[in-house]
Amino acid sequence: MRRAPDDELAREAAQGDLAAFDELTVRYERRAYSYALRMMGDPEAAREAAQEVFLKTWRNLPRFRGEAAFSTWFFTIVVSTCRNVSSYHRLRDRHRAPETTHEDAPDRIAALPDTRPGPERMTEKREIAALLARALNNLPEPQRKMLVLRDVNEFNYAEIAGILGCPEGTVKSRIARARLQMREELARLGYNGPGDET
Amino acid sequence: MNCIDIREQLNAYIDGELTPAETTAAASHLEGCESCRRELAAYRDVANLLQRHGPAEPPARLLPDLRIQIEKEALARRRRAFRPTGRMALAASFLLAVLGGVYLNLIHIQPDGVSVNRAMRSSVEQAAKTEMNKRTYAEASKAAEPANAGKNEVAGAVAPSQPAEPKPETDETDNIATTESDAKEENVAASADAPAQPSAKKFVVESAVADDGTGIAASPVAPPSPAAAPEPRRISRSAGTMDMGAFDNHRMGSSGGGSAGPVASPISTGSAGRRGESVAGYAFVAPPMPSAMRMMMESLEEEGANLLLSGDMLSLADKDASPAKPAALALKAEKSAPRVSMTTTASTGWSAAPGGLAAEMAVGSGPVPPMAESKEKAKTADMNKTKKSKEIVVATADEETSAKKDVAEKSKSGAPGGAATKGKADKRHAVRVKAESPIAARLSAIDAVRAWGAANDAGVVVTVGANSLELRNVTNAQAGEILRSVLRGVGPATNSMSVPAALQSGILNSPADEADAIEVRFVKP
Repeated sequence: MRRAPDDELAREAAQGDLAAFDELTVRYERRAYSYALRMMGDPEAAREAAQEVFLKTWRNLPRFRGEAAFSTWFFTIVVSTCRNVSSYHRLRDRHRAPETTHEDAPDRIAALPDTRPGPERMTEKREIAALLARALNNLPEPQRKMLVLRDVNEFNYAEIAGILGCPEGTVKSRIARARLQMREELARLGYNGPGDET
Repeated sequence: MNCIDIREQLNAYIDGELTPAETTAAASHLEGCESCRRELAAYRDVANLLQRHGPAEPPARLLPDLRIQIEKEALARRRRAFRPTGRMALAASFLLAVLGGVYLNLIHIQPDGVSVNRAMRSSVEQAAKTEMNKRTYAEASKAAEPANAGKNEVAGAVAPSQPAEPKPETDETDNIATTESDAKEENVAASADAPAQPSAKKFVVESAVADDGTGIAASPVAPPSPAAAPEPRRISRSAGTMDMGAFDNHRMGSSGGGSAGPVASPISTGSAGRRGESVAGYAFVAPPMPSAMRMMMESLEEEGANLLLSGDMLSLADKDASPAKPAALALKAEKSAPRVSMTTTASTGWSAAPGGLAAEMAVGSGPVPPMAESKEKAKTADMNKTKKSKEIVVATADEETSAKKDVAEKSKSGAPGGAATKGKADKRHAVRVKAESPIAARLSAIDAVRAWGAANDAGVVVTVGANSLELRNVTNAQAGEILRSVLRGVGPATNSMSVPAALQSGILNSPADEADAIEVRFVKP
């Protein structure tokens, strides 16, 4: 495992170093996939989006000038790719099943991989994950985006503003609204706080 | 800091985004306020829940699959590094043309001093064999006069005059010298090969507008004779003119679309009859403009697209590409080359629509008409000032007369989507769909049109442009139906609808991004 910083790896990868790109992929694979999954709710679509993200990154690495952190630059690709893939899937799904709504939709997130041992605990975690996914899915996309970038991908407000190209004030207000709405959604879906998690 | 102030800051406090002073103030307030502490705990709970359950393990096959694709890309990149770009190729072909001209004219000056280039010589020999293009000397001179004027120049000493030869009418130019000496050559050759010629003064002349498209100007030339007396060195630029002519023809043909030369653009405007040739369902059609096609191909290849060029159609051969790829490529292609539009076929559309699209989508050659009237434009401009959203314009050329004419033509020819109607801007229904991305907008509109097409067996031609979707071969009633289906749930009397109404009606499938508001209008000027 190489210890080089992301920017250095990016420069090496831009010159065709596949090993450097592999290292970047390993570092960012989980974050990109998590974002895609939380934004789209469908593991298959998320996998497809994540793959597309890394392909785009590989193609565009020569254009990475290091003005922003690699993670910020990379996540601009993640966000735009997920939006495009999501648009495509949404329209396709609508065409296939136009009457489906969020409420009626099958809970695809329930099939998420879970590494926790024990069938009961697995079921519990799966239920919470399903609740979370459903609540997230009911948030407006801009708020969902902010919340996922903040809480799942752990970017700070300035980095989120850089990724989404909006002022920090917007990030702050949307995250506040998103958390409030998330609380309400979770309560509506029957989640009663940390006590539900054992 | 009171409770209202602190609650606005609670999330930033959780995320550590407050200044030290704000953090201290918030902390001191929280110490003494039970209800704010409860609020804080609730928000923190949401954040913790996401942090614990948000990250997900990617599937095991993500990296191996990716590695295979990246290796392919790396290989393609290495190959591309050695491939000349469009500009380089153009420059190289230009250089080749110039050098070719020089080579043909300077290097291949015959020992007898008669300037004969290879191309001309072979064409002359060919013509001599078939004896199809033989004319009399006088005819040749007449034919040569207008075409040669100002083009052929001869430097150096002129050939010795032949008093016995009749002079061409273009006696004031240096071409005379060539003509005279060539006449002599031909005369000699003719006397050896065909003594029966009464005048013995025939010339082989290529027509002023060369049939082979090379643009060779008429110039009386003849095969050199080894018996001819050496003449002073002369340089003719006729071949140079020829090559430049070919280049110019190419360029003119590419922009005007009228050239039939051998190097004319391989790309021409698509027609409905060729839709079936599309390979993967996504076809990119360019107007007859090689530069546009070249730009488009380059940009698509940069994206790793595997392209097939067949006739005037550039198709995407990657059947295994991810579903998002064709749409993304189409967008890129459209960005790279103006007036490039994308189409899809009924057989392999974006999705498996039941019944498919009855009216096959086709690309027409007509320009996308300007959609908006002045009032509408003003509204649009205002809208664009405040919102960053992308839009797609759905415009129909729905004059009854043109529609009827199209239908009549179609019924005569029996071909679906026959004539391309150029839309007039005077009377038109239009729908403007704004969505969070051009692709989403486009797909929204196309989706609606497809749905309509699946239910109605009509030969509607749909042109999908970069920011437009044009309907042709539609009657007024059909256009109205289609537009209403785009504005799903909107009655015919409704001329406009608000964003919430559009969302509620299901036209727009996602809640509007605040920054990228979605707007749907139904304009009936």
